[in-house]
Amino acid sequence: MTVDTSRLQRRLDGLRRERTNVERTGGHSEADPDIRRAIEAIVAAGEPFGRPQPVWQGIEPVDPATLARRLADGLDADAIETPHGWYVRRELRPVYLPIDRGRLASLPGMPASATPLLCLDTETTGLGSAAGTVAFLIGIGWWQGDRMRVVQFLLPDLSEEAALLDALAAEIPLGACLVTYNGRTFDWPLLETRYRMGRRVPPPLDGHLDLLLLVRRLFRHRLPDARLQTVERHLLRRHRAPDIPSWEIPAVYHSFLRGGPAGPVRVVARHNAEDVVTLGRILAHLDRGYGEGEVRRWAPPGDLMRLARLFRHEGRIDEAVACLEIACGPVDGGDPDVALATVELARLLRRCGRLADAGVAWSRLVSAPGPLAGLAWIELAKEREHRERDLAGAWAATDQALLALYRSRGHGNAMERRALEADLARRRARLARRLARQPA
Amino acid sequence: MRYYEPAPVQMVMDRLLAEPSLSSGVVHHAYVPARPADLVAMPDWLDPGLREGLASRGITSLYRHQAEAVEAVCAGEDVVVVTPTASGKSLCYLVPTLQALAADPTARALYLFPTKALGQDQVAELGELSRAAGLHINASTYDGDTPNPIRSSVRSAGQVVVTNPDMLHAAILPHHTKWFQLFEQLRIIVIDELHTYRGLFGSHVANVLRRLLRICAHYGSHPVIVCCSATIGNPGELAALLTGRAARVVDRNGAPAGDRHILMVQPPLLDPATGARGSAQTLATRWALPFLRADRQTLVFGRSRVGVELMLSNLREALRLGDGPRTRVRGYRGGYLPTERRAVERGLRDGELLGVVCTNALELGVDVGQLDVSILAGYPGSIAATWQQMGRAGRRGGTSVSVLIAGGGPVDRYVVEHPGFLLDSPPEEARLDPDNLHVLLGHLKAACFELPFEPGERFGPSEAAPLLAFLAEEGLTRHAADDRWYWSSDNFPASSVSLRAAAEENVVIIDTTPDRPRVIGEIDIFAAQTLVHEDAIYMHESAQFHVDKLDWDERKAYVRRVDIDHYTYADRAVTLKPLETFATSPAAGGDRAHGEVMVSSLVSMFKKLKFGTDENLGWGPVHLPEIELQTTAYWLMLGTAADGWSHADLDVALLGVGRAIQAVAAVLLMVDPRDLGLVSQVRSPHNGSPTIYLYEAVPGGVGMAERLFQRHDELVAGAADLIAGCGCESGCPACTGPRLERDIDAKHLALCLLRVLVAEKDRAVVTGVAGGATSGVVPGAAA
Repeated sequence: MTVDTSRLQRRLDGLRRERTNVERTGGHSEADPDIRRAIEAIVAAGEPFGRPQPVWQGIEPVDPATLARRLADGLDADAIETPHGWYVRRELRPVYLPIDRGRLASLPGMPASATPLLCLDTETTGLGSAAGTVAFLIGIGWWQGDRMRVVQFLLPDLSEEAALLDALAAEIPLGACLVTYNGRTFDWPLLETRYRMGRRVPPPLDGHLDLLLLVRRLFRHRLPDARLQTVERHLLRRHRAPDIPSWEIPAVYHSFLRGGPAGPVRVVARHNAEDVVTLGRILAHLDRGYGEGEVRRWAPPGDLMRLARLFRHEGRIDEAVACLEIACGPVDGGDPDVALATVELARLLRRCGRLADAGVAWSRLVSAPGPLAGLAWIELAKEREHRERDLAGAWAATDQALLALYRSRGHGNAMERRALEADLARRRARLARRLARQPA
Repeated sequence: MRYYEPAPVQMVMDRLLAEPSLSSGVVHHAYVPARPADLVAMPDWLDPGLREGLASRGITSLYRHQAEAVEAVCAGEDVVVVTPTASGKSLCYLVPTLQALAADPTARALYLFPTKALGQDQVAELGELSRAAGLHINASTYDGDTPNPIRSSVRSAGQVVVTNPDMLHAAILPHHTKWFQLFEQLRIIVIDELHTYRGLFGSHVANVLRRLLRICAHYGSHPVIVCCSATIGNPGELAALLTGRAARVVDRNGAPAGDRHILMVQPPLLDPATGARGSAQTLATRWALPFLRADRQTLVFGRSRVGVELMLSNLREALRLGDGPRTRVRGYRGGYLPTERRAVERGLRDGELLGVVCTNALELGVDVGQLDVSILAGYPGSIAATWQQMGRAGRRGGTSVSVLIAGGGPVDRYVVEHPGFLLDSPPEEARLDPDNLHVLLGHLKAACFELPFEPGERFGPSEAAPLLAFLAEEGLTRHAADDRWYWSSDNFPASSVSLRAAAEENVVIIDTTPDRPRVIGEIDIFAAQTLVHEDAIYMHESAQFHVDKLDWDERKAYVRRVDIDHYTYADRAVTLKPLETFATSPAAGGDRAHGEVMVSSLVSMFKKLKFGTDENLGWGPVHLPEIELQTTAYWLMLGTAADGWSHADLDVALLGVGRAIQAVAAVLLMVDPRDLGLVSQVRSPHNGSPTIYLYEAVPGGVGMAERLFQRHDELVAGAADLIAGCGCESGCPACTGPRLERDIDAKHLALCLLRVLVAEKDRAVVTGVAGGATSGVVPGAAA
């Protein structure tokens, strides 16, 4: 069965007319506004090219060699031909970024110091990792001594993907650990999809360190959000030159494929390279600011408390205690993070049987603001009653606890406070009975 | 009379038929004798473990249709099984699936069900059977309710994946690389409840299956397809249209059945002048009560959720008056929680529950066991659905009763008065058009997203390249130097295609009464024109809402709860323009044709009508743009038939004939009457003749217009029958449509016109023409 082609053509023409009507009445036309905005951003950034006009090329195929060369020329890169097609390779000047792998490996969740690390970031033709989204630019970075080398692979046309994927696979060293930002849910599943689409096996990895998860756990409390550029600004204190917003990136590439200039793709490549280096900078930041030893002393108490949690989750209790001890160390003066860290420290010490140390920690909290003082006095009351057998001292502590709770009215959870108060009342009655029985 | 005493079904029915107020409404009483089982020995090549497992569940031989299907499927042949409810259809695919998995545990199967609940039932049944057979089969449902952590294990390890077409379309196919284990080893695709895949939904699903088979080919698998359907007129054709492959039709039912009485009931005519009839719901409760009191398990089917609730409370009230088994009667409909629904199903199976009032939610293959009585308050909309609802009653060892009570519309009346439609050969057909250009283009985008198109590759009937070139002009696809076509846009095309809605865009209705505005519903833009224009009163779950604002560009209607004494009614002005005639041919009294048309719909004003009296309280303007719909239509141009008619009479007659044809067409083609639009023109500006158009209310149509064109003679004869057989005096909503003016005899005028339109060969058999109830004088000539 075949459809009458002339009828099909007529109906398609009808649809074409509808489309032009929509455009005339100001409906959605092509993605031009997006591209225009992207280009304006580039011009504002002082890129050395004029305002390019997207050229309508029609639907006739273009030789991939032509596209590859055009892309390579626009990006000061190399167009490379392989048996499976063309790709464009761009190597940037290495970035000085010293890192102590041994010290980094001491942190929870970090790969062993001998494992090669490969920072990776992709730019894609759309969102999501479904079958129709293509990674048209893949940037990778790795350490060579104190410097980070950054190489980018670009796709000159959608038909050339096999060449790009093979080139990437060749650069991933055996037993490498991938370092990404949100790569567990986005970049790597997307690349796996691409390899499967090309009926290829995805390159094997030995671990995948998704820094998004780590950043969320360690620093989210003092960042407005967890986007990579926010991390860059607030944590690494680096300010990027005007950059292209991520959501405009697909339009730039599609515009290039349709005959547009390669210049805007250069801006995307710069963005991608920045992202790759930022991954390395985050690792360096973790190493220099949180690694084992002296450096940790200068880290904010809130960060250290969260780092201690990561240690605890890995069962590294001693290191968790060490972190917390630094966090609630000499600095005081009403920092709420310090108080919270002290609570965690006291609880952790009690859990591993260091009761006396726990008592010391609790006693540092009795002057803390809010309901924490009440909590600390309760713990001290338990300590004195059950371990030190100091009934009078315990009685005094319950009094202090009630007083602290009374003062902290209006803070925290009222229900919780009432429960604590009821508990204290019972404890007090019991202490009264025991004190009465005790020979004077 | 003694109530609440157990009695056999036959006795209760005899007692009811002895009651004149009930028996007078029985238009037809059919008796279907019991039928013995037609058994075939288990195939000897069956896996021994599977054979034992079946035996442990009491299955030592197969019914004829099961055996035929199993043999064919295991030999790699596509099959469509067409047998009634409760004939053991699921074994037709469960046995081949388990056989394949017993031979090779890496094999995979994909089951498609139209709804989620059905899928879950099948997973349970498959689990029981495979455990009995000593196999460890990983069968899982994959739908919107599947929790995220389980999803990835279903993807990689699910041997039998049970899902629905919507999930396949939006979640599985676009992510096929994550499902490669399934697609590489896929052996069997099961499409159950095939007859539900008709009309626009069916056209979409046919394209989803094209995409599925394309992905299978990419991964190198060639699955066999098993379809199961309720009884319809064209199962083989439907399966072929849906899957694009010819299938072997297995329809020799070997399952046994007890004897059955089928009663067709017409509610009494209360007022011949207006044609007003008693309510089907009231009558349904009257028929149901004596069976419930006699301890017979009874299902009552209602057409709407509100109807179900009304009948339920009436039945409970009536049972309460005599300390009857009130608590053993429950409701069942969409909107009930899944746990409640499961409890009702269980209650019916183990006999705990006596009666259930339900919507068609219980019609499809949900397992509730076999009951004594089913009562249908209103024709469910298709013969297939009628049989499914009736089939809920029918014990293998005893008598069962099914009662079909006609509702108010012409379609209901027509079916009840023509029992042959239901009882003899199934005349109705399920139609779909997988090549509807609007539908096809949407899925072509999704297909290109999923996998680039190879040079010369076809999608559906023809090469995809011209269509892909069209998409390239929109910047969606790209023709690369390797001559393949690639998806080249940041859109996710599957998300803009909804399988169950005609238009891409619906209007969302937002209730602003509560502090946090909430969405209470969604309607398509055509309905939105008349229902949620500004100042309309919108009814939702029997609450009234005033439409404060309709943001047409954003497709949002903002409404607010009100409590007032009137409702609104907006007039839709429909104009129709033929674009292209595909075929034309002479018919009695004129010419018939089908082709492509442009339908424009404009709503410019609305009326405020008082509740109860319908008194006109005023009107208001509606400022909305005209909506255009390009679709297919069938039309009838009157030639000599219109000679001698006055303009006014012809206008009434055309509309009356058109409405009757519309009703008959809905029965013949298994469609909702609302999916067929009607336009009549006394003098068509396009052909100069009086013309009746029936157009498909779906962009591009789904092939119904062509079938209407082919079955023209049946339509006209049926329309004559419908009008002549109506008990009203001069036209009513159940034949020629609501009367506009008191002194016009629409019934007489329509019949006069039909007399000339009915084909020569049908004249002798059509009562409205042969009976000669009215004089042969052309009314226009007399005036």
